[in-house]
Amino acid sequence: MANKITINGKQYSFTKGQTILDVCRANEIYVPTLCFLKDINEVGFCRVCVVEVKGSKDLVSSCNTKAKAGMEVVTDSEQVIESRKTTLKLLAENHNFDCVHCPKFGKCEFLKVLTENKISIAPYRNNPGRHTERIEGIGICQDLSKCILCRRCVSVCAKISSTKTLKFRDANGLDPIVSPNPGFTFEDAGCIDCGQCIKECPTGALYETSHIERVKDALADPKKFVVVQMAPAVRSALGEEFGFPIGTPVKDIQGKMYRALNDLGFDDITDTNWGADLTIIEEGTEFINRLTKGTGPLPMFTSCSPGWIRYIEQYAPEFLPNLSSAKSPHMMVGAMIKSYYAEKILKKDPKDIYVVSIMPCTAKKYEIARPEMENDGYRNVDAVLTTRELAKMIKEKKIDFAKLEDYKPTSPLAEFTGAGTIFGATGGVMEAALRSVYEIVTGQDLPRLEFEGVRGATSDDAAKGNIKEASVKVGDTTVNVAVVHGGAAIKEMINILKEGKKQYHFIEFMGCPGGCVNGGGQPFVKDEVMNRFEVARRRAKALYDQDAADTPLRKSHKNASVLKAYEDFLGEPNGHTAHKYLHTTYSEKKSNNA
Amino acid sequence: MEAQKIEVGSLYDAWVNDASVKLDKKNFFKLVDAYIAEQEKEICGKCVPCRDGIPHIRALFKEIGEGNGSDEKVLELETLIRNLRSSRCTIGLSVGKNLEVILNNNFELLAPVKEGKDGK
Repeated sequence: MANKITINGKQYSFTKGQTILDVCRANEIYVPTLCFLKDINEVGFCRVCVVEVKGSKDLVSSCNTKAKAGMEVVTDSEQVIESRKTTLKLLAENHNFDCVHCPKFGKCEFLKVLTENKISIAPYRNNPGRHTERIEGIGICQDLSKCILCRRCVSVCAKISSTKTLKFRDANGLDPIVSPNPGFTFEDAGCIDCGQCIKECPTGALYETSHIERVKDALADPKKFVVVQMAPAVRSALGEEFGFPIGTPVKDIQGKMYRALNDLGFDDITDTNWGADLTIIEEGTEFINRLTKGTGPLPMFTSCSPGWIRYIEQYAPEFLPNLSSAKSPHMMVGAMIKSYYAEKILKKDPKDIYVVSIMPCTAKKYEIARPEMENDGYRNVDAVLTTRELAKMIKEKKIDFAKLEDYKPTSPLAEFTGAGTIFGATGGVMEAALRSVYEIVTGQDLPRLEFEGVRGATSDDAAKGNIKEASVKVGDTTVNVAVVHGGAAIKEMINILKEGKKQYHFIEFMGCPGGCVNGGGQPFVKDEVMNRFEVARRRAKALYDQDAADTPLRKSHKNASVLKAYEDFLGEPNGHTAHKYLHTTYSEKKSNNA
Repeated sequence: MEAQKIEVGSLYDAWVNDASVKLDKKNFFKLVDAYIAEQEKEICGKCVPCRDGIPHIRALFKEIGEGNGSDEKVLELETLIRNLRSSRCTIGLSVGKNLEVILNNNFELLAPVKEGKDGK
């Protein structure tokens, strides 16, 4: 009987440590789940996955009951099915089924499980929901009427973001509530706006603050010249919303994405990848100056992830001097559109220009609202749409994305190198920076462009984020670098730095595990379809493949249109004008997360 | 064994020894309500069958006890009580078992009420 379990009268093998659910899923035996998230939330709260185990009068949750040799399990008995349905009905009684207006409309896991188990939602149509409060944030919102108390978001917030902003408040066991600290928005309660909770919520209880209406208003305003840009990671995942497999090569999506933006009515298309190249020049120069002239403390930290920025400002402000002052790529593009681009190329008044960024990120919505992010009285970026929001707009306009013919924007601010492309994956910023820093410092061509040692999303434990380290010889100096992604790994690195046990020169930080490819604004992928590590790995591979095969230039400092921007407008990297438009300041923020 | 002296909370244990054990008929609904009210204080709020099921069960007992019973309500009551066997911890499991005994041994108290008669 060793390592054999009987399920519904048939024997299956299992390995030590596997749960009943693991064995069922491996053998395509239907067991629904709601609260379960592999390795993140295996708490057995929802009881939807219960099964009968011979010898026990009580039903057991399959998600956290280990398979044992000789165990006899039934997943589809009358008792199991009745229990599953009864539990689902109890959940339905406390859920607001205003599905049409729900941000998860069409993608609701709860509704899917209800439907699979033949539970009609008709009797519950007018439910107010368990609680009626809405928490409106700058990046993340919560509709408590949709919450089913599965605790997934709480676990994600603790184990992935590490901030523990979302809490399961069970002082009253009959009426628990999941929320940030009462009376505070997400931003005021210590949230880093990474949005990982939104991705894991099985209902529409958590969602990004929508900018769709403000973008539609801008597009409809004849006085506005609406310029759009999109982050590297968007093109690694947008296709998923239209039936393309996860990890579809960027070359198969990018042209359609540009065409869709054109069809949506944007007046001009630029690309954040261009801004990524610009960031490398600025951030790379800043690093070289710190390394060779001591102009700032080492290690220098990257500053392009607003989730990370929110982390350091709230939880590790003592390290703010280590942060590069460079703005993130899309903020640089926004600043350049309303200055250099408006004046030299568009010949337009910046007051008439409206900049929209398509981002894989919910924290970017917070970033554009930072008071520092404006120049000459104009906000650098006016709206941020997540990848999901862009897909929604494309669908609403009935654009058949899969059949779109490729389009190539004509703006010089849409020309980029492979180094800009790989910004979307953890390790990408570091790799792009090293390619340029090496050549600028040594004056020699890099013998090999790939720095596999810093590619975070290729390792098996990347699902929850991790730390990768490498040493790179740049001229006579050995540069110690690290790549950190995910809030839990950030916390770990901050502790390492506080202990002073390791010496680094340059550290890349990203708030989301896997980097932007796995950002909180990216398309939803259910855990049972593909685990989050594999999703991040495939999307990252799509970006690295584009860098390696599809983009002729692979070094930011070779981007001709970026160099021209320096020649015509910015002057020297890190010079006065560059600093004015492309750099910013950060400061300590109170978190209210006790 | 005198049925009316048995507390609801120890019904299951008593029932194991004496399957005929019954609650005091006169105060049946009051006893059950008092028992559930006491147990509700222990509910941790984590699992659905217990957190959302027990208040529902209490409400159904109340409705039936007030003469507003029906076949559907008794059936729903039975189902919700059985579902406590899927609870996550001993609170829901023990409440469920005690209430199962109540249903098994006092079903006739629900029947007249469900037919619209005064069963109190």
